[in-house]
Amino acid sequence: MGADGEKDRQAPPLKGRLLARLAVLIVRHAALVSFVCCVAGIVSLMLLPVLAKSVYVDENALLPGSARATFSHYDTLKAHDLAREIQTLLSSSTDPQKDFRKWLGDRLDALGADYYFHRFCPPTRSFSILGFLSTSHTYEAGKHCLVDGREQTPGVNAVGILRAHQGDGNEAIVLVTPFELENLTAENAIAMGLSLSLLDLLSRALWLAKDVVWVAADSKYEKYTAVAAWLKEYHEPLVSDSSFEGMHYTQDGNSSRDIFFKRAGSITAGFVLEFTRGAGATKVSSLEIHAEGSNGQMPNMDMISVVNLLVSWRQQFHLTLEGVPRIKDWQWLRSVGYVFEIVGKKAAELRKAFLSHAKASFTTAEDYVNGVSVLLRSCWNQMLGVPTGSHGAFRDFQLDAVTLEVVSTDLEHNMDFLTNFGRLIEGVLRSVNNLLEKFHQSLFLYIMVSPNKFVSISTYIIPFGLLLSNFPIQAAALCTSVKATPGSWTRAILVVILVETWSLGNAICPAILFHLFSSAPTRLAVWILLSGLCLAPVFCLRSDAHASDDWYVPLKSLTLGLTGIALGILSAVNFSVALAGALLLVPMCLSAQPFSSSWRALWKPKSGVISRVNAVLAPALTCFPLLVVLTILARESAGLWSFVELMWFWGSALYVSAFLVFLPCSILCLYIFFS
Amino acid sequence: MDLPFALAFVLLLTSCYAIDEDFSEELLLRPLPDGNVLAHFHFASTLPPVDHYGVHHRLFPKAIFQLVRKFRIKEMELSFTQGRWNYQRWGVGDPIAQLAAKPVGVELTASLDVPEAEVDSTWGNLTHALSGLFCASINFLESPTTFLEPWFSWRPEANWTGGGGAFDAPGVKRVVKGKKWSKSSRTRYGALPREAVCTENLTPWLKLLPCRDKAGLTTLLDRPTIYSGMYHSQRLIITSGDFDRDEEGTTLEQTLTVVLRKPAVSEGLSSKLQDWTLSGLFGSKLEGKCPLATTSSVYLELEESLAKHLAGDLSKETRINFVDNRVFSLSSAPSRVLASLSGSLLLEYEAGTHSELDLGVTWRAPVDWSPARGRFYTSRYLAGSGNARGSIVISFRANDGPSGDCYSPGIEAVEYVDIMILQMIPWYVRLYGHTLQVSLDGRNVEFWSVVRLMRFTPAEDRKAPAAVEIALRVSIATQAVTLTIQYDKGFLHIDEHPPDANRGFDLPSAVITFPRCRVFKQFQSDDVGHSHILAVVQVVDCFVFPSPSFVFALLLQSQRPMQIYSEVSLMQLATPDFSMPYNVITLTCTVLALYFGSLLNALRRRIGEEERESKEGKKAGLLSQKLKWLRNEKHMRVIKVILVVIIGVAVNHYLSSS
Repeated sequence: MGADGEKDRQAPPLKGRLLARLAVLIVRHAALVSFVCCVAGIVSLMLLPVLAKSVYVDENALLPGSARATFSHYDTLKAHDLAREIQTLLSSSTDPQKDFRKWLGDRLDALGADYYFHRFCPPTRSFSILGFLSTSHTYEAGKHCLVDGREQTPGVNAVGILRAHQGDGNEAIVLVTPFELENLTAENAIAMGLSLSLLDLLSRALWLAKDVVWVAADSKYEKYTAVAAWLKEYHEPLVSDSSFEGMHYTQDGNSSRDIFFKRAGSITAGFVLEFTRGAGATKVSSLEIHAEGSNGQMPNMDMISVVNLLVSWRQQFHLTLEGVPRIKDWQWLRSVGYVFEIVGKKAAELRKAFLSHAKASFTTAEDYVNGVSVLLRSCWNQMLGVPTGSHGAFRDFQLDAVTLEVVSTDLEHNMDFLTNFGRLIEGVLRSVNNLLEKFHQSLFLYIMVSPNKFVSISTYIIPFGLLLSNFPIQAAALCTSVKATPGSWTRAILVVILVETWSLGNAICPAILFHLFSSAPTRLAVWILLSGLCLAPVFCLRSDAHASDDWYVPLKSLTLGLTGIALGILSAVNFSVALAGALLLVPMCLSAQPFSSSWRALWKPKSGVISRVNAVLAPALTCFPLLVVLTILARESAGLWSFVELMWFWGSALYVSAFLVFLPCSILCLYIFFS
Repeated sequence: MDLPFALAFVLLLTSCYAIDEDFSEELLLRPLPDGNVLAHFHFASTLPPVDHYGVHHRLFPKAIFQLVRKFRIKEMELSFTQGRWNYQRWGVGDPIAQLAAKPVGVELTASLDVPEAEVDSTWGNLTHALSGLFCASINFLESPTTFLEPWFSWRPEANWTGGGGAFDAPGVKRVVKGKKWSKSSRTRYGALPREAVCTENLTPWLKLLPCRDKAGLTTLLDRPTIYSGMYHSQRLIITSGDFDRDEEGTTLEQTLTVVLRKPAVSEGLSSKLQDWTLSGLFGSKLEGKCPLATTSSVYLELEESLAKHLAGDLSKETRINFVDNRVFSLSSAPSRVLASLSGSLLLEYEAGTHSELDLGVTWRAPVDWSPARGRFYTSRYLAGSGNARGSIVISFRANDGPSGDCYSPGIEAVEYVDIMILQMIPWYVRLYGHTLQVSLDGRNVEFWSVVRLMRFTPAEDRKAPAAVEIALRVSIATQAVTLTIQYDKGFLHIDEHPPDANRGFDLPSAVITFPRCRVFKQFQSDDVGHSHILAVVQVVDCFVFPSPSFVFALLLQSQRPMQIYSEVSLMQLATPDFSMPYNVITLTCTVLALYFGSLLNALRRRIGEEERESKEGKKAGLLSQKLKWLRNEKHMRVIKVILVVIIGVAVNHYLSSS
């Protein structure tokens, strides 16, 4: 490369338009530019927790905390009473389902709420090629549900609609409390009690302008299923189907009025309340927010910032976000944090010296490590594309929802905590109730770093952009640097098309195999065998065209270009997947070269340092994905099929990108490497 | 609408006694099953025909008289409503519910006696006049996109049960052609679901009353009380016979319906019925009557299912002790009791005779009664999510429980139910007519096997709304009826959006009429009170009525088809980002500037010439000499330093100021 640089300096001065000159300049110094881009990309990626902004409430109409919360100890006592009532009812009853429904119906009726029971069945996990991206499942309930080939009773959601006294019924706020009647925990009972007590409070509230819909979601078949089934019926009712017949077999003591599906205008926001028992003996109760929906969709950030603002204003909770706990032990990360802390301190001092008004804030190493942990978790959740809770069901209908999970060990005796939680929910509901318009202007594309810090798209797109820019630059550089031998481009295009087709076939394969074979190991084995067999001819396509050293250049530049375009598109679909892809593919693609040429470069006395380093790294980087895949196959082969099923079920972008971007790219790199 | 039915009797009455102006005030109180209390104020002013009486009045408001003369109003009904009438808890199938229930916001129906070509323009002028009179934005109804001409729903002559209606031929496809039906209709209907109702609408309404709110029943109207209730609907009904039937005068009815919240109690979860008194509800007792009113009475109504709790006593044909019985006790004794044939009771109190009336109910036993819910639980909603498409669904589900006074004249055994739907849909909701579907009991059925009559007027962009009127006939055993139609959401111009476009767009209520179901009460005076029997509706005779005090009771007796208003729905359209035009302008200007700059540069600049000129520097003019002076390195450095200093100062200034 050093020789290249000398050549550049001797080259005649550039001519032509400025942009063109700039492009030529960049292409000429491609190695340097892409090195700088890579380093800057990774540094800015590391910097993300430092660059995070504080959350703010964007929608002024929300007015969080502007009114006094009226939820009191009295209401908490009532919640406890109700929880006890539920537990005694269930323990003494012979038919808990029926008695519980009757009890709940009476309670809701006494509040002046409209109520009904909604029956649903879990959807069957089916593989259909057309329905991949539109994850539309049916939850139709007949007399019985067919779950894994066995007949089971349908789930029954209880829904209460509290009509706002003076509202016009156009809009509604949804409150979801998942419960499981079969094994009702003490926390679950308290969650139900608290929700009812809260509804009682709201039924007397004069300020209510939107209807409040409370869904007691039967989480017999997962919480998500219950909420998704209800939302589906709410938004896409099946007019002509068996649902009408379904009416007749639920006459377990309810009049037909109890099963009319009633509605309450368009849904503005949803809140899922969950109470779980914390692990360990710590008595600290904390509140966790989950927000990631399917395919990494996030609710409007105001949903989180309102909760955060109310919590931090009243100072009563320990608000947390899910993180990756192991990361906190990584010493190297902590030292990186220290470096950023020192730099941050200096910068803050400087700022203070120059601008007297500026706030001298900096990120401490502790914050940094925590931030990275939360950020990674959030990215991981977004990448998987599987929602982190039942709030994900709302996002499928373009509604905003979050899950508020209370983690506590001793709720029965923690009066203050419950009261404060009730106040918080009341405050949040009141805030959303104030909203005159649907959420429309705040952020939807962001990653949380801590409950009060976030990274918006304008920041996190920078490292990705820097990494992505390598692809076109390198592709252009490769194209211009080498004179193509006749036929080499044709061959490259042929290979690329073959590999891409193969990947597409691979992606569709599970859907076909699912219908052909019944057991998961057989399906997996046939799948691997088929794909291996189909790939073999491509590798045999090595012709005699390896006349020159640079025969692989067209192929590599095509690979680079295609991968760059694919990743760019992917970033709009699911950013986290695209970022992970960029991190994985950039070093692999850039270092790809045939083994023979890297071998030669290693021993050639004239070759520069970069070439040598590249020659050493190339095999490692290129074979890395292959090794990973082989390791996964060897160790997790049992779980692999079910993972594929899960990806299909959620219509995850990870699956698409793994098969249409990562796989062809790494196969092409391997092809280059081995030929 | 129900007006013709309702007012036929009032008019009849006025024709008998139409020698002088008359004003009456009445208040009906009804305990509701959920513990809240309904209060229905009814004020009626009548004016004899102009030909007999002239144009100078004692009582009748001049403003209304002028409106009637100017716009030749035959009938008009205007309502301002806040909150929703809860059909399930407060009832459908009884006359009071029919009088009280109105859609949210403003609703205006008017029948004008002007040539057909002038109806729309007269309507426009009328809306402006009303807008000024009631301090409301009724003038938005002037725009042709907000009102329509009902073909069947408001018209008594389309009495489908009688002969000649379009209902006679079952299974025959009938899409009614416009000309035949709309020929004589000069009725217009419009609704503004978004209009907020407030005291500024009440004040002008009160001004029309002869005693305003200074004396009589109106003294009860404490503003904070009536506006913090659960439902508030204020109406104005004008009927005038001046234009076609000379002997009938003009009537102005003003009603105000409020549902007052039950008094707050500490234990909210289990309490239902609460004791109440007039002073507890309104904050003041009733002191005297309006001196100008001929009648001033307060009624307490007990619904059938509540009155049945007293039935044990009724059958013995002994006096029921209304003041103190096992179900409730009243604070004062009624002066008269009216019982309807179906069993509901109306307890009458004369406001004038009591110096201070503080009517109150104290419950003795926990009673539970259900209101007349009507045959169907009706709801309309929008299905679908997102900004592109969706569907409108109107669903009827059979109710259990009492369905109310539902009387079908002429037919003994009722085998089927008729349903008439009127739905106005704004033009930006683009309906797909072919997707209109009916399903009965969860099964799609052939459209024309159930639909007897349909009018489908497609919308015209920015000119007229779509109007859909559908008449259905289903078997009485039907448990569920569902109508769906799909639509695409249109795009609006940026200047057509309201200021709060992101709130969504309101879809006005569907008006659902059950033409064969007549809601009315037939009263007879109970043994307890006076001995005369009120007329059975069909054989009205002037002399049967003892006094004009029965205006209200007559209103309850008049037959009207049952009518239900559906919920108002909110539709989210794809709204633009309103800051976008600014961004677009900025971007466009930048691009244009760059384009023209480089274009001019390319056209004007001659590089060869410049090089030549720079070589012949000595010949250059003043400007280039100055430039040359700049090219001197020493000078350049000084200028650079000055520039850097200026930029630094500017940045520092900007940052410290911001």
